[in-house]
Amino acid sequence: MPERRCNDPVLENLWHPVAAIPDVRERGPITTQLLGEKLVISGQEGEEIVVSELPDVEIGGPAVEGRGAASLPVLESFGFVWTSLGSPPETLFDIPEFHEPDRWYENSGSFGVHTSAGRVVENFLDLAHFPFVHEGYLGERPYTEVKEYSVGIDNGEIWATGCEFYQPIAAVSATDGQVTKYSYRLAHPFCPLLYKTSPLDPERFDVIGIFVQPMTEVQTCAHQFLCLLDETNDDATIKRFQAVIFSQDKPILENQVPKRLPLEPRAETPIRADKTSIQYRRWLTELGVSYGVLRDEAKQVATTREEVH
Amino acid sequence: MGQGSHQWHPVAAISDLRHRHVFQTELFGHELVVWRADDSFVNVWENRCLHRGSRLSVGINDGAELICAYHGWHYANRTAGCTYIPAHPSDAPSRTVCNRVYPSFVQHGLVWAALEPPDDMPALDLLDEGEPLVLRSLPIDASLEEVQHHLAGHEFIVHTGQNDQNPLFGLVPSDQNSFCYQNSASADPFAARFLLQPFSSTKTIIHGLVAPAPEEEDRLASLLHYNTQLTRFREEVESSISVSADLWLEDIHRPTHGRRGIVLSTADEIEVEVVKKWKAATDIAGFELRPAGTELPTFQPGAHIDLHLANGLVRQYSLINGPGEQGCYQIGVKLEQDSRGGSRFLHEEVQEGDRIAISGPHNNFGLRRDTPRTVLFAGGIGVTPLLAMAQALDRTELGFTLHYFAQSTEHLAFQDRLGELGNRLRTHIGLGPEETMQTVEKTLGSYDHLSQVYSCGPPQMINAIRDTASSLGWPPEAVHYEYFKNEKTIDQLSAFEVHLARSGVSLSVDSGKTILEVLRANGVPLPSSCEQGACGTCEVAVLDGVPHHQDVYLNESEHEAGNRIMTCVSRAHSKQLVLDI
Amino acid sequence: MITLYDYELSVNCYKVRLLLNFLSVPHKLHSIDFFPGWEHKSEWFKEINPLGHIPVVDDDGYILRDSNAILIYLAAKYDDGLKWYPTQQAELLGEVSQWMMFSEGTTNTASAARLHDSLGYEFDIDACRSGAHRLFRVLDEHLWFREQQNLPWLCSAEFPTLADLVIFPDVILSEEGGINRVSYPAIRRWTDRFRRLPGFSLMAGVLPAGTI
Repeated sequence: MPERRCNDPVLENLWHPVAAIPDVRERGPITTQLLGEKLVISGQEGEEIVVSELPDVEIGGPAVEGRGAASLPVLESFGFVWTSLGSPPETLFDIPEFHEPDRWYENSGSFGVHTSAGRVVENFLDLAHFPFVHEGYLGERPYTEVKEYSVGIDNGEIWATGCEFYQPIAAVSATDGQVTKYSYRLAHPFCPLLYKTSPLDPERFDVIGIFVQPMTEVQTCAHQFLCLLDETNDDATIKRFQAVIFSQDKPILENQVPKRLPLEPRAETPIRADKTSIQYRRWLTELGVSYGVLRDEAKQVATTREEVH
Repeated sequence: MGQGSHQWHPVAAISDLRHRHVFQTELFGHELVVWRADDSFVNVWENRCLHRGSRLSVGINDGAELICAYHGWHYANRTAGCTYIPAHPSDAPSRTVCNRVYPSFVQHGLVWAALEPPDDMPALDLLDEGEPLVLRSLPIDASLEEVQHHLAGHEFIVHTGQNDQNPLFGLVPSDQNSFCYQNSASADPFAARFLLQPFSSTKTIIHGLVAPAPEEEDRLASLLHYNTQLTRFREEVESSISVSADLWLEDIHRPTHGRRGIVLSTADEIEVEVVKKWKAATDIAGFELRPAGTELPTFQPGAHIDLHLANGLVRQYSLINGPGEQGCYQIGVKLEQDSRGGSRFLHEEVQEGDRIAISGPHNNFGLRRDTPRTVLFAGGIGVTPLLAMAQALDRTELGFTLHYFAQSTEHLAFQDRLGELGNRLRTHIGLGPEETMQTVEKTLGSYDHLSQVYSCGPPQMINAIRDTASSLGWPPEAVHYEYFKNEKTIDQLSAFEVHLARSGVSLSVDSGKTILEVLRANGVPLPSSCEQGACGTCEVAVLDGVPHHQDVYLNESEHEAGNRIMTCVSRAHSKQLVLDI
Repeated sequence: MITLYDYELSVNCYKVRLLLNFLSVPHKLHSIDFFPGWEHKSEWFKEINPLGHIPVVDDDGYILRDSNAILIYLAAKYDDGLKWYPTQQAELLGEVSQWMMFSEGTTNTASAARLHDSLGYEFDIDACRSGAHRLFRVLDEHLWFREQQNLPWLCSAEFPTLADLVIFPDVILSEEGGINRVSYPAIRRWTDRFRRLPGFSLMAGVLPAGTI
């Protein structure tokens, strides 16, 4: 096993998303980074998708065909190419809803953001910012209260259930604001999923998630995942909504310091509304994650220097 | 942290802080936010919200408080204490929720700050008289040493306003301060001071002061002239850096718990001076209290303080302060006819200039700001907490009305503050109990799910309001009240005992008190942070007994195991808990 | 009714939306699946704009592409006060045009950096960032001296013009391209003022500035 720059055996041996399959098929080889290592992903229509390591390829530079150098394991799942720098488990987590035949699913975009994967995940799990950062979309002032919800561990995964939040008038049919119910699931340290009761069928859930690719400790690519029951809205409208929500979070994410997620419980001051994030940080600590996080309270390095441009 | 951290450095020009701007800068790589409140107080804080690390520089300065962009937490002028957490609208934030404040002052048109409190008062004898011309601050992408190296040989041109005369000046570091450069040769009356702000290892900012300041009509030309001079200097410095400085990762010790700037124990008394006493209404005296040598603790609307009177009595009075008014406390004291010596003492004995011990503030009457419409009913002196609330609501977009019931117009207190409320104030003069309730009934109408009520006044009035609201279909959670005699509502929580295994001491934890409070009151200092059961700081091991967990830090199996407890919120199912302290 | 072929995250579309909202011109948005769908390069859209770019406006049959062209048209047609594009004042108009040209520079630097970092476009990112900083230095100096003369905007008028409008989006979103504005205090204050204008509208990625 080659020595890895990231020096984090936990993350090295996981599957990570690195590209949307249609992007690879339609727009040729893609260069990217995973845990500090440079990769090329290639595979035209009809070919197998290959992920190769290329130490001297220029990220964002002209795409080159993968040549020579080590080939990494590849998995295609949920519309994305996944790879690993080590020995990943046999399978990835499953999302049963994805296999249902009446689901809307399309490539909804992969967006870069200047912060660590942990910060992106926590932001996805957070409700209290809805009326401030997503005003008019996911929340509305003055309805800011986050009521008590439950967080538990089920089968090695973190679940937050019974989350409720007041949402403003939905775009289409509602005449009034309503309380929307959510559950959150973390089946992978960097892949949070949100389950929301479908407006089309109260017995079923829309699944929305982000598969977060840790490019470096402080640079991330967030792959959007939407698995909805939706017959009415066109593709552009659905994707636009998702892109808007993520972009609204960007200036917040890019202005958090330190960029790496502090795991020491007293490094930041959580409140009751942060229950999921409290368990998430404990989980990362127990797993032994060290890349992209800050474990030691006393020795917190100034990560603002990492963004000097 | 090396040399210079105990020194004063310029971090901004006063003119950088206009119009409720939030200014951003760094000192030795520590990010700072500088903002001025409407009362002109200049705040220098760490540029990081202690909640989730958001830069406060992308937040909003509303003139009284700095509001974080992420979750809308409010931080008070002067103290940086948190006054409102929107996710938990009915909880007054704990005193420990406070951002880091850096010592600062304003002089020569610049804001000066230090990372660690310097030992002595600033000894800036920069310029003899008058206010100098404050030049445009110029950031240079070079280390302090590079800039100092280039300043050594450089000559600048004095601006005389006449093209044929261009005397030069060089700069040398002052004896007392290696960050302050002054003109090397005396050229009276001309004097220049170039102050170097060590922003980070790769950036230095030059703040220039030139005296005497030119006449108004020459001012712009002067500023342009020196700006050009400094820009050329910058080009020289930046073009000669042959090796770009390593991106410098500094170890910055960020102690977390207990690190906040203003930390005052709730149990402590502080001494204040009565700087003003006035007749606020017929039987109401207003008092303005200023601290002697320390900042006043952060308060929120609805809070009260305890006055420890010289005659041995302790009395509670609501603060009428609006948000951000952290420089002094103001209260109103009604002379009670049956006064046992509290209000009478304050009215008749206490004078301006006297000192009083106070403690608090405490808040059992917090204002929820998550309802579109708030109706405030004030009876007599009960107006005091509601006035604080009205002033807070006035800064939001929420609707509110303050209904003030008083015997006569001469009984209306604090009319200057009332005047600011405009048509949100309705006064009701000389109404009897029945007419008062008719007004209340008409005002409330049936419950519309968009409103809440806060009332404070004589007990009969409060009870009648509660009954009326109930009969109109208002749920109890929408009707908030405080009896103006500050009678505490009875807690339904159980009382139990804690036995401290190591010291052998047993203490009782009464209804309404937390284990943390009781331990501290009995000399057992436990650290705490959020005081909401979320952060884990106040944890203690349990050796025996059945805890009643009310925290969100421990998970289900840890709760079941029952051998750890968060002392700030959790209680006991059993009659006794044995703690490992 | 104006139809704007629009993508929420496009800076050039945002410029048009800003002006439409400042002028309270009724309009409807036709969302184009720009990313990742590349709908602007589709056949049907190329019939509307052969260059395959957005924004494009359709004002009851009158079709115009290119954000600067659209802005000038909207200002000429709908701004009764003739302030956003002051055709009646030659010197002021000259200044406005000069700064609109400046925005070509911010497009090639700050905006390009943003597309590189956010959407994976291929650009020389170091050149983009250093180029943006060079321009921001010029902008900051200019705005600082304007403030000294109590002029809050880029051009010599008490009101904002298209000069401010076309440069604002690239500036306010510069952090998405890894360009922070801590060294540009005058620019930061100018963005406060712009965001406080009556009729100002946000886009995803822009935080509100709070009122005075």
